[in-house]
Amino acid sequence: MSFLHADYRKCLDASEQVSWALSSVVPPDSRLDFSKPFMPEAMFLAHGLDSLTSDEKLKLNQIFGRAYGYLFYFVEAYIVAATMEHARAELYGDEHALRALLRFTEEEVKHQQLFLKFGDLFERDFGSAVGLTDSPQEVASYILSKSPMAVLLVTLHLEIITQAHYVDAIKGHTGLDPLFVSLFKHHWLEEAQHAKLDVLELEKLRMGAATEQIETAIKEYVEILDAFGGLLARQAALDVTSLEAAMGKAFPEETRTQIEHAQTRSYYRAFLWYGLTNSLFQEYLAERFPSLLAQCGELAARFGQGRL
Amino acid sequence: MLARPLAVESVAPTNPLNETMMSRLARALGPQKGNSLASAILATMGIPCLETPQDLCDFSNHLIGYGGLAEAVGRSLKVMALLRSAIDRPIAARKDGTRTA
Repeated sequence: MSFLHADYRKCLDASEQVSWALSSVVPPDSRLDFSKPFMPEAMFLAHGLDSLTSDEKLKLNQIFGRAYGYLFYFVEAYIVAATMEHARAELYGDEHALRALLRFTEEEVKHQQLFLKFGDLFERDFGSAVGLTDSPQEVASYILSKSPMAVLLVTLHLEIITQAHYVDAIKGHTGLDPLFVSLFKHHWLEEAQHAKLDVLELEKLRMGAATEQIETAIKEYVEILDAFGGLLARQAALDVTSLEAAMGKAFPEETRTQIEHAQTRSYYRAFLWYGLTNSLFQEYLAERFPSLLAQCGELAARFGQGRL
Repeated sequence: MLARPLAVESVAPTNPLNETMMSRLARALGPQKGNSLASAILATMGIPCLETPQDLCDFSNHLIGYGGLAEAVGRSLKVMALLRSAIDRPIAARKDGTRTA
Protein backbone atom coordinates (compact mmCIF):
# COMPACT_ATOMS: atom_id res chain seq x y z
CA MET A 1 0.00 0.00 0.00
CA SER A 2 1.21 3.50 -0.79
CA PHE A 3 -0.34 6.84 0.02
CA LEU A 4 1.06 8.40 -3.11
CA HIS A 5 -1.71 7.21 -5.45
CA ALA A 6 -4.80 7.90 -3.35
CA ASP A 7 -7.86 9.62 -4.78
CA TYR A 8 -10.99 11.03 -3.22
CA ARG A 9 -13.43 8.74 -5.02
CA LYS A 10 -11.64 5.56 -3.88
CA CYS A 11 -11.48 6.89 -0.31
CA LEU A 12 -15.18 7.62 -0.43
CA ASP A 13 -16.03 4.14 -1.78
CA ALA A 14 -13.85 2.46 0.83
CA SER A 15 -15.34 4.60 3.59
CA GLU A 16 -18.86 3.51 2.61
CA GLN A 17 -17.83 -0.15 2.51
CA VAL A 18 -16.27 -0.28 5.98
CA SER A 19 -18.64 2.09 7.77
CA TRP A 20 -20.07 0.94 11.11
CA ALA A 21 -22.61 2.15 13.66
CA LEU A 22 -21.58 3.07 17.18
CA SER A 23 -24.45 1.04 18.66
CA SER A 24 -23.27 -2.13 16.92
CA VAL A 25 -19.68 -1.81 18.13
CA VAL A 26 -20.62 -0.84 21.69
CA PRO A 27 -24.10 -2.29 22.41
CA PRO A 28 -25.80 -1.11 25.63
CA ASP A 29 -24.90 -4.32 27.52
CA SER A 30 -21.17 -4.09 26.68
CA ARG A 31 -18.63 -4.89 29.38
CA LEU A 32 -14.86 -4.77 29.49
CA ASP A 33 -13.13 -7.91 30.77
CA PHE A 34 -10.85 -6.73 33.56
CA SER A 35 -9.34 -10.20 33.96
CA LYS A 36 -7.40 -9.53 30.73
CA PRO A 37 -4.87 -6.94 29.65
CA PHE A 38 -5.95 -4.26 27.16
CA MET A 39 -2.64 -3.31 25.60
CA PRO A 40 -0.34 -5.80 23.81
CA GLU A 41 3.04 -6.43 25.44
CA ALA A 42 4.79 -5.01 22.38
CA MET A 43 3.40 -1.59 23.33
CA PHE A 44 3.37 -1.96 27.12
CA LEU A 45 7.01 -1.66 28.16
CA ALA A 46 6.31 -1.82 31.92
CA HIS A 47 5.59 -5.56 31.55
CA GLY A 48 9.33 -6.08 32.01
CA LEU A 49 9.54 -4.33 35.39
CA ASP A 50 10.70 -6.71 38.14
CA SER A 51 9.46 -4.37 40.85
CA LEU A 52 5.79 -4.96 39.96
CA THR A 53 3.68 -8.06 40.65
CA SER A 54 1.62 -9.60 37.86
CA ASP A 55 -1.56 -8.08 39.37
CA GLU A 56 0.05 -4.66 39.43
CA LYS A 57 1.19 -5.06 35.83
CA LEU A 58 -2.32 -6.05 34.77
CA LYS A 59 -3.81 -2.97 36.46
CA LEU A 60 -1.16 -0.70 34.95
CA ASN A 61 -1.78 -2.23 31.54
CA GLN A 62 -5.49 -1.43 31.85
CA ILE A 63 -4.73 2.11 33.06
CA PHE A 64 -2.50 2.48 30.01
CA GLY A 65 -5.36 1.21 27.82
CA ARG A 66 -7.75 3.72 29.35
CA ALA A 67 -5.35 6.60 28.72
CA TYR A 68 -4.52 5.30 25.23
CA GLY A 69 -8.17 5.48 24.21
CA TYR A 70 -8.57 8.86 25.88
CA LEU A 71 -5.56 10.27 24.05
CA PHE A 72 -7.18 9.41 20.72
CA TYR A 73 -10.33 11.16 21.89
CA PHE A 74 -8.09 14.05 22.84
CA VAL A 75 -6.32 14.46 19.49
CA GLU A 76 -9.49 13.92 17.50
CA ALA A 77 -10.80 17.18 18.96
CA TYR A 78 -8.35 19.17 16.82
CA ILE A 79 -8.65 16.79 13.84
CA VAL A 80 -12.41 17.41 13.68
CA ALA A 81 -11.88 21.18 13.69
CA ALA A 82 -9.17 21.02 11.03
CA THR A 83 -11.05 18.62 8.75
CA MET A 84 -14.18 20.77 8.90
CA GLU A 85 -12.12 23.59 7.43
CA HIS A 86 -10.77 21.42 4.63
CA ALA A 87 -14.30 20.28 3.79
CA ARG A 88 -15.55 23.84 3.82
CA ALA A 89 -12.85 24.83 1.34
CA GLU A 90 -14.32 22.30 -1.12
CA LEU A 91 -17.82 23.85 -1.28
CA TYR A 92 -18.82 24.15 -4.96
CA GLY A 93 -15.57 22.35 -5.80
CA ASP A 94 -14.86 18.64 -6.20
CA GLU A 95 -17.97 16.73 -5.04
CA HIS A 96 -16.01 13.57 -4.24
CA ALA A 97 -13.53 15.52 -2.17
CA LEU A 98 -16.33 17.33 -0.34
CA ARG A 99 -18.18 14.10 0.46
CA ALA A 100 -14.99 12.28 1.48
CA LEU A 101 -13.96 15.13 3.80
CA LEU A 102 -17.43 15.41 5.32
CA ARG A 103 -17.42 11.66 6.00
CA PHE A 104 -13.93 11.99 7.45
CA THR A 105 -15.21 14.66 9.85
CA GLU A 106 -18.31 12.68 10.79
CA GLU A 107 -16.24 9.55 11.40
CA GLU A 108 -13.83 11.41 13.67
CA VAL A 109 -16.73 12.70 15.77
CA LYS A 110 -18.05 9.13 15.90
CA HIS A 111 -14.62 7.94 17.07
CA GLN A 112 -14.69 10.53 19.82
CA GLN A 113 -18.05 9.15 20.93
CA LEU A 114 -16.61 5.62 20.74
CA PHE A 115 -13.77 6.54 23.10
CA LEU A 116 -16.15 8.36 25.44
CA LYS A 117 -18.27 5.20 25.66
CA PHE A 118 -15.13 3.18 26.33
CA GLY A 119 -14.27 5.63 29.10
CA ASP A 120 -17.72 5.24 30.65
CA LEU A 121 -17.47 1.45 30.60
CA PHE A 122 -14.00 1.58 32.09
CA GLU A 123 -14.91 3.96 34.91
CA ARG A 124 -18.06 1.99 35.75
CA ASP A 125 -16.20 -1.27 36.43
CA PHE A 126 -12.48 -0.61 37.02
CA GLY A 127 -12.95 0.16 40.69
CA SER A 128 -10.87 3.30 41.15
CA ALA A 129 -10.29 6.64 39.46
CA VAL A 130 -7.77 6.97 36.63
CA GLY A 131 -6.07 10.34 36.14
CA LEU A 132 -6.15 11.72 32.60
CA THR A 133 -4.40 14.76 31.17
CA ASP A 134 -6.80 17.65 30.99
CA SER A 135 -7.48 20.57 28.65
CA PRO A 136 -7.97 18.94 25.24
CA GLN A 137 -9.18 22.34 24.08
CA GLU A 138 -5.84 23.95 24.94
CA VAL A 139 -3.94 21.26 23.10
CA ALA A 140 -6.25 21.58 20.08
CA SER A 141 -5.80 25.34 20.17
CA TYR A 142 -2.00 25.01 20.31
CA ILE A 143 -1.92 22.59 17.37
CA LEU A 144 -4.32 24.69 15.31
CA SER A 145 -2.16 27.79 15.92
CA LYS A 146 0.45 26.18 13.66
CA SER A 147 0.41 26.29 9.85
CA PRO A 148 -2.21 24.07 8.17
CA MET A 149 0.54 22.05 6.48
CA ALA A 150 2.16 21.28 9.85
CA VAL A 151 -1.24 20.35 11.30
CA LEU A 152 -1.86 17.94 8.41
CA LEU A 153 1.59 16.37 8.80
CA VAL A 154 0.83 15.66 12.46
CA THR A 155 -2.62 14.34 11.56
CA LEU A 156 -1.13 12.01 8.96
CA HIS A 157 1.41 10.81 11.56
CA LEU A 158 -1.40 10.04 14.02
CA GLU A 159 -3.63 8.33 11.45
CA ILE A 160 -0.72 6.14 10.43
CA ILE A 161 0.11 5.07 13.99
CA THR A 162 -3.47 3.95 14.62
CA GLN A 163 -3.08 1.59 11.68
CA ALA A 164 0.39 0.45 12.69
CA HIS A 165 -0.67 -0.26 16.29
CA TYR A 166 -3.65 -2.31 15.24
CA VAL A 167 -2.01 -4.25 12.42
CA ASP A 168 1.39 -4.80 14.07
CA ALA A 169 0.44 -5.33 17.70
CA ILE A 170 -3.29 -5.66 18.44
CA LYS A 171 -4.83 -7.63 15.56
CA GLY A 172 -5.15 -11.35 16.26
CA HIS A 173 -3.93 -10.98 19.86
CA THR A 174 -6.29 -13.41 21.60
CA GLY A 175 -5.06 -12.66 25.11
CA LEU A 176 -6.44 -9.10 25.16
CA ASP A 177 -9.88 -7.91 26.20
CA PRO A 178 -12.01 -8.62 23.10
CA LEU A 179 -14.09 -5.43 23.36
CA PHE A 180 -10.93 -3.30 23.52
CA VAL A 181 -9.58 -5.10 20.44
CA SER A 182 -12.89 -4.60 18.65
CA LEU A 183 -12.91 -0.85 19.39
CA PHE A 184 -9.49 -0.44 17.84
CA LYS A 185 -10.30 -2.69 14.92
CA HIS A 186 -13.25 -0.45 14.01
CA HIS A 187 -11.22 2.66 14.62
CA TRP A 188 -8.50 1.32 12.31
CA LEU A 189 -10.99 0.41 9.55
CA GLU A 190 -11.98 4.05 9.08
CA GLU A 191 -8.64 5.65 9.84
CA ALA A 192 -7.12 3.86 6.85
CA GLN A 193 -9.06 6.21 4.54
CA HIS A 194 -8.29 9.22 6.68
CA ALA A 195 -4.56 8.86 6.19
CA LYS A 196 -5.05 8.88 2.42
CA LEU A 197 -7.25 11.97 2.65
CA ASP A 198 -4.56 13.69 4.72
CA VAL A 199 -2.08 13.02 1.94
CA LEU A 200 -4.45 14.40 -0.71
CA GLU A 201 -5.08 17.55 1.33
CA LEU A 202 -1.39 17.92 2.09
CA GLU A 203 -0.66 17.81 -1.60
CA LYS A 204 -3.05 20.70 -2.25
CA LEU A 205 -1.19 22.82 0.31
CA ARG A 206 2.30 21.71 -0.66
CA MET A 207 1.83 22.49 -4.34
CA GLY A 208 2.38 26.17 -4.81
CA ALA A 209 3.84 26.63 -1.32
CA ALA A 210 7.15 28.47 -1.07
CA THR A 211 10.20 26.59 0.22
CA GLU A 212 10.14 28.68 3.41
CA GLN A 213 6.50 27.68 4.05
CA ILE A 214 7.42 24.00 3.72
CA GLU A 215 10.39 24.42 6.05
CA THR A 216 8.18 26.26 8.55
CA ALA A 217 5.67 23.41 8.42
CA ILE A 218 8.43 20.89 9.12
CA LYS A 219 9.74 22.95 12.04
CA GLU A 220 6.22 23.27 13.47
CA TYR A 221 5.58 19.54 13.03
CA VAL A 222 8.59 18.86 15.26
CA GLU A 223 7.40 21.50 17.75
CA ILE A 224 3.99 19.83 17.94
CA LEU A 225 5.61 16.42 18.52
CA ASP A 226 7.69 17.94 21.34
CA ALA A 227 4.59 19.51 22.90
CA PHE A 228 2.73 16.22 22.55
CA GLY A 229 5.68 14.51 24.22
CA GLY A 230 5.26 16.83 27.21
CA LEU A 231 1.61 15.88 27.46
CA LEU A 232 2.44 12.17 27.25
CA ALA A 233 5.02 12.52 30.02
CA ARG A 234 2.36 14.14 32.22
CA GLN A 235 0.04 11.22 31.49
CA ALA A 236 2.79 8.76 32.47
CA ALA A 237 3.16 10.51 35.85
CA LEU A 238 -0.62 10.36 36.37
CA ASP A 239 -0.55 6.62 35.63
CA VAL A 240 1.70 6.00 38.66
CA THR A 241 -0.79 7.70 40.96
CA SER A 242 -3.68 5.84 39.30
CA LEU A 243 -1.90 2.52 39.86
CA GLU A 244 -1.36 3.34 43.54
CA ALA A 245 -5.07 4.18 43.86
CA ALA A 246 -6.03 0.93 42.11
CA MET A 247 -3.75 -1.20 44.33
CA GLY A 248 -4.45 0.74 47.53
CA LYS A 249 -0.76 1.22 48.28
CA ALA A 250 2.08 3.69 47.83
CA PHE A 251 5.16 2.52 45.94
CA PRO A 252 8.70 3.40 47.05
CA GLU A 253 10.10 6.42 45.19
CA GLU A 254 12.49 4.25 43.17
CA THR A 255 9.62 2.06 41.95
CA ARG A 256 7.52 5.12 41.14
CA THR A 257 10.35 6.45 39.00
CA GLN A 258 10.74 3.10 37.21
CA ILE A 259 7.01 2.92 36.46
CA GLU A 260 6.87 6.50 35.25
CA HIS A 261 9.88 6.02 32.99
CA ALA A 262 8.49 2.78 31.54
CA GLN A 263 5.14 4.45 30.92
CA THR A 264 6.77 7.50 29.33
CA ARG A 265 8.70 5.22 26.99
CA SER A 266 5.51 3.30 26.17
CA TYR A 267 3.62 6.50 25.30
CA TYR A 268 6.51 7.95 23.31
CA ARG A 269 6.95 4.75 21.38
CA ALA A 270 3.21 4.43 20.70
CA PHE A 271 2.46 7.99 19.67
CA LEU A 272 5.77 9.38 18.43
CA TRP A 273 8.31 6.68 17.58
CA TYR A 274 5.78 4.44 15.78
CA GLY A 275 4.96 7.24 13.33
CA LEU A 276 8.51 8.42 12.73
CA THR A 277 9.71 4.88 11.93
CA ASN A 278 6.69 3.77 9.92
CA SER A 279 7.69 2.68 6.40
CA LEU A 280 4.59 4.21 4.74
CA PHE A 281 5.15 7.54 6.46
CA GLN A 282 8.82 7.48 5.53
CA GLU A 283 8.03 6.58 1.93
CA TYR A 284 5.68 9.55 1.78
CA LEU A 285 8.22 11.90 3.37
CA ALA A 286 10.96 10.73 1.00
CA GLU A 287 8.79 11.74 -1.92
CA ARG A 288 7.25 14.96 -0.61
CA PHE A 289 9.16 16.19 2.47
CA PRO A 290 12.71 14.83 2.16
CA SER A 291 14.19 17.32 4.63
CA LEU A 292 11.80 16.04 7.32
CA LEU A 293 12.72 12.44 6.52
CA ALA A 294 16.34 13.40 7.19
CA GLN A 295 15.37 14.36 10.77
CA CYS A 296 13.23 11.28 11.46
CA GLY A 297 16.12 9.06 12.56
CA GLU A 298 17.31 11.48 15.25
CA LEU A 299 13.73 12.19 16.44
CA ALA A 300 12.85 8.47 16.55
CA ALA A 301 15.98 7.69 18.56
CA ARG A 302 15.15 10.48 21.04
CA PHE A 303 11.52 9.47 21.52
CA GLY A 304 12.30 5.73 21.42
CA GLN A 305 14.46 6.18 24.50
CA GLY A 306 11.70 8.07 26.31
CA ARG A 307 13.19 11.55 26.39
CA LEU A 308 12.32 14.88 24.79
CA MET B 1 -28.39 16.82 -8.24
CA LEU B 2 -25.59 19.35 -8.36
CA ALA B 3 -24.98 21.10 -11.64
CA ARG B 4 -21.70 20.31 -13.37
CA PRO B 5 -19.24 23.20 -13.51
CA LEU B 6 -19.78 25.24 -16.66
CA ALA B 7 -17.10 26.65 -18.86
CA VAL B 8 -16.56 30.31 -18.14
CA GLU B 9 -15.05 32.82 -20.46
CA SER B 10 -12.08 33.90 -18.48
CA VAL B 11 -11.93 37.55 -17.51
CA ALA B 12 -8.22 37.32 -17.01
CA PRO B 13 -5.11 35.23 -17.62
CA THR B 14 -5.48 31.76 -16.14
CA ASN B 15 -3.72 30.06 -13.27
CA PRO B 16 -4.95 27.38 -10.84
CA LEU B 17 -6.19 29.79 -8.17
CA ASN B 18 -7.99 32.00 -10.66
CA GLU B 19 -9.52 28.99 -12.39
CA THR B 20 -10.75 27.61 -9.10
CA MET B 21 -12.35 30.93 -8.19
CA MET B 22 -14.04 31.26 -11.58
CA SER B 23 -15.25 27.67 -11.58
CA ARG B 24 -16.78 27.95 -8.11
CA LEU B 25 -18.52 31.21 -8.88
CA ALA B 26 -19.89 29.80 -12.13
CA ARG B 27 -21.16 26.75 -10.35
CA ALA B 28 -22.87 28.68 -7.58
CA LEU B 29 -24.17 31.70 -9.48
CA GLY B 30 -24.15 30.68 -13.14
CA PRO B 31 -21.45 31.56 -15.67
CA GLN B 32 -22.66 35.04 -16.59
CA LYS B 33 -23.27 36.34 -13.13
CA GLY B 34 -20.14 34.65 -11.82
CA ASN B 35 -18.04 36.18 -14.55
CA SER B 36 -19.39 39.70 -14.08
CA LEU B 37 -19.05 39.54 -10.30
CA ALA B 38 -15.45 38.33 -10.58
CA SER B 39 -14.64 41.10 -13.07
CA ALA B 40 -16.14 43.75 -10.80
CA ILE B 41 -14.24 42.59 -7.73
CA LEU B 42 -10.93 42.19 -9.57
CA ALA B 43 -11.38 45.74 -10.92
CA THR B 44 -11.99 47.02 -7.39
CA MET B 45 -8.85 45.25 -6.23
CA GLY B 46 -6.90 46.71 -9.15
CA ILE B 47 -5.50 43.39 -10.34
CA PRO B 48 -6.15 41.42 -13.57
CA CYS B 49 -6.40 38.01 -11.88
CA LEU B 50 -5.74 36.12 -8.66
CA GLU B 51 -2.16 34.94 -8.39
CA THR B 52 -1.50 34.30 -4.72
CA PRO B 53 -3.43 32.89 -1.74
CA GLN B 54 -3.44 36.47 -0.38
CA ASP B 55 -5.20 37.66 -3.54
CA LEU B 56 -7.74 34.88 -3.04
CA CYS B 57 -8.29 35.88 0.59
CA ASP B 58 -8.80 39.55 -0.30
CA PHE B 59 -11.11 38.60 -3.18
CA SER B 60 -13.11 36.37 -0.82
CA ASN B 61 -13.64 39.20 1.64
CA HIS B 62 -15.12 41.31 -1.16
CA LEU B 63 -17.29 38.39 -2.22
CA ILE B 64 -18.60 37.83 1.29
CA GLY B 65 -19.96 41.37 1.28
CA TYR B 66 -22.40 40.46 -1.51
CA GLY B 67 -24.38 38.08 0.71
CA GLY B 68 -26.35 35.00 -0.38
CA LEU B 69 -24.64 32.36 -2.49
CA ALA B 70 -21.79 34.73 -3.32
CA GLU B 71 -21.11 34.95 0.41
CA ALA B 72 -21.18 31.14 0.73
CA VAL B 73 -18.62 30.82 -2.07
CA GLY B 74 -16.59 33.65 -0.55
CA ARG B 75 -16.43 31.98 2.83
CA SER B 76 -15.35 28.70 1.27
CA LEU B 77 -12.67 30.37 -0.87
CA LYS B 78 -11.48 32.32 2.14
CA VAL B 79 -10.91 29.09 4.07
CA MET B 80 -9.01 27.75 1.08
CA ALA B 81 -6.81 30.87 1.10
CA LEU B 82 -6.21 30.73 4.87
CA LEU B 83 -5.24 27.05 4.64
CA ARG B 84 -2.58 28.24 2.19
CA SER B 85 -1.25 30.72 4.76
CA ALA B 86 -2.97 33.89 3.54
CA ILE B 87 -3.65 36.56 6.16
CA ASP B 88 -7.14 37.86 6.76
CA ARG B 89 -7.10 41.66 6.57
CA PRO B 90 -9.74 44.38 6.26
CA ILE B 91 -10.85 45.32 2.75
CA ALA B 92 -9.98 48.98 3.25
CA ALA B 93 -6.30 48.17 3.77
CA ARG B 94 -5.77 46.87 0.27
CA LYS B 95 -7.43 49.38 -2.07
CA ASP B 96 -4.05 50.11 -3.64
CA GLY B 97 -4.07 46.67 -5.20
CA THR B 98 -0.69 45.69 -3.80
CA ARG B 99 0.04 42.00 -3.55
CA THR B 100 1.37 40.03 -0.66
CA ALA B 101 3.29 36.91 -1.57
